[in-house]
Amino acid sequence: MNVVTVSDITKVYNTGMQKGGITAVDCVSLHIESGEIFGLLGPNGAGKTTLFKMLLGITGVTSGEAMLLGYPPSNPKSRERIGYLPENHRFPEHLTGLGLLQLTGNMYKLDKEIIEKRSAELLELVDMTKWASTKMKKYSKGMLQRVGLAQAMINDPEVLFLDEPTDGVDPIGRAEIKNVMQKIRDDGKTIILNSHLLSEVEMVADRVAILQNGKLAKIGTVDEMTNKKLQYEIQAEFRETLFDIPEEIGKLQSLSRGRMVVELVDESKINWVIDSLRRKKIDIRVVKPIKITLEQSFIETVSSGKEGVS
Amino acid sequence: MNGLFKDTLAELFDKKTVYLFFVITFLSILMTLFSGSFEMTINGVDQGLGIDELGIDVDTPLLKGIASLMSLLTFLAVMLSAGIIPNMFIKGRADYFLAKPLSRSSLLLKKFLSVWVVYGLLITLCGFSCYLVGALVHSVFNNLIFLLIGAVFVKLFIWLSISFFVGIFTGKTVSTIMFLFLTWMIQSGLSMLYSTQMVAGFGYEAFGKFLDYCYYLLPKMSEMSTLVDKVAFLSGSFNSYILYSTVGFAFAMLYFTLALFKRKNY
Repeated sequence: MNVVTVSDITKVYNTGMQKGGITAVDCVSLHIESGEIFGLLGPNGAGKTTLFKMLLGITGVTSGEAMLLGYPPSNPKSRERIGYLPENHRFPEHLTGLGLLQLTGNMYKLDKEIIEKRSAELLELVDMTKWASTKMKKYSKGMLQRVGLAQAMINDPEVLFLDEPTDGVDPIGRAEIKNVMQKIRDDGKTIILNSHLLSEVEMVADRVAILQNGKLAKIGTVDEMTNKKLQYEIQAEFRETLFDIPEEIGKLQSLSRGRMVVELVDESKINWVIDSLRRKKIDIRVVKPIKITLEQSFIETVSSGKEGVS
Repeated sequence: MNGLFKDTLAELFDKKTVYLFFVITFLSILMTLFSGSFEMTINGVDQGLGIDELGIDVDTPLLKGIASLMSLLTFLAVMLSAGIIPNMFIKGRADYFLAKPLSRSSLLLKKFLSVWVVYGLLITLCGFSCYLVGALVHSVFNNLIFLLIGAVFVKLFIWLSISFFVGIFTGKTVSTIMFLFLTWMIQSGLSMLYSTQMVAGFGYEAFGKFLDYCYYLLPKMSEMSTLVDKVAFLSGSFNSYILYSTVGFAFAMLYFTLALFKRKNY
């Protein structure tokens, strides 16, 4: 089941300075399924936050269609079962951490008892219980981020929008937030994550989309993004320095004494390579697909300025 | 509503300036108490008579004093609350409020009602406590105090409607305060022109008409105060046009604020 469906969505900001306005998001189409962690990546100004804001009804849609949990973003019902941690948030500083959770719970029309129970649980979860009665103006960036994450979960949301959730958080806090995200996913909830820390996205996300200049440059599973195009590394004791691979199978990328890299036309052709090596009585130690990090994949996509879904 | 009400209350007490309300009220109470110990001295000889024994009617001056006190507190409340909307919808905070399952109209109206009720009750608390002290000291009580409290709520409603509109339109506290002053100045000027019959005497018929329209369109806050005095102290006829047109202006302002807020991107 899709929790988010976006079809040809476009956002143009009328600045009054530039004729025709500035296109922040340009004909983006994607869907996000229930229970997955979906990472939204892109360089600064790529349109990630604008896409978040359009889905949440914070900013209007210029053209195209968006649906969140079966409702258009203009309908407040679409936001009943969502939680949101904004980027560079500035929660009301006159409130305490507990006060923020209570205000948020009230705006979701939760019962007083539920708010109290959930607030205590969430403050414990984000390790902020002892600071619950302190005004937020005294909080550090990391503490604000933790309490922000707690307020986003007060209504036990079905879909959680997290915009840079680990921004300003120390490494221990980041690990804790990662654990919280995994726990939420294990509970069958959906997380839509916007983060610059690609190594973290790689660890937690199921699928990612890369936005560039407001357009969708690439979308796929983390495996699809990080698998180097059908390249395999074979570790063995190669006695022959020459090894010919027919064109219909693939091509040899590199060959050294203990390591060979081949690029195949499709995955099944690895069997041909293995069979050929075995016929030559070569002892194979390891066969593994060559992977790149999500960060490398991201840089490659952005550098090539690739447009359109691949 | 409950959440936004508590939020407004917390925001109010977070501002140190709120204690100015209590200081002014405290000083007013002291003045009221002091007025009770006023004694008549004739030819340098203390007559041993207090203001009440002299048979002076303290009821009306006391009410007038309270009316002035509440006008001052209303002015302070309007200035204090001018930053509420710009602060609520600054970058980073607007996202927090707008991503909640409330329609924009509902969110803004709830906030408006919260601010109106919280600040209105604060003025009432200060003004009424001062009146109660005066009433106890002089053993008088006039129900007209409730009319004055009602007038405070009406005036606050009108000022807040302007403040919310400019707050949404510009998103800046300074602009809101400046616009409030500007409205007050223009309205006072037009009032003065109107009352001295100068509108028709400009020689330029079109300009005179323009000023005339402006006078009728803008809220008539100073006349509202005079109107309340007239009603409270039975010192003149009641001109319902002033009240209805001014309250109508506030409702129109609130309508435009909602329309603007619904279309605004954050």
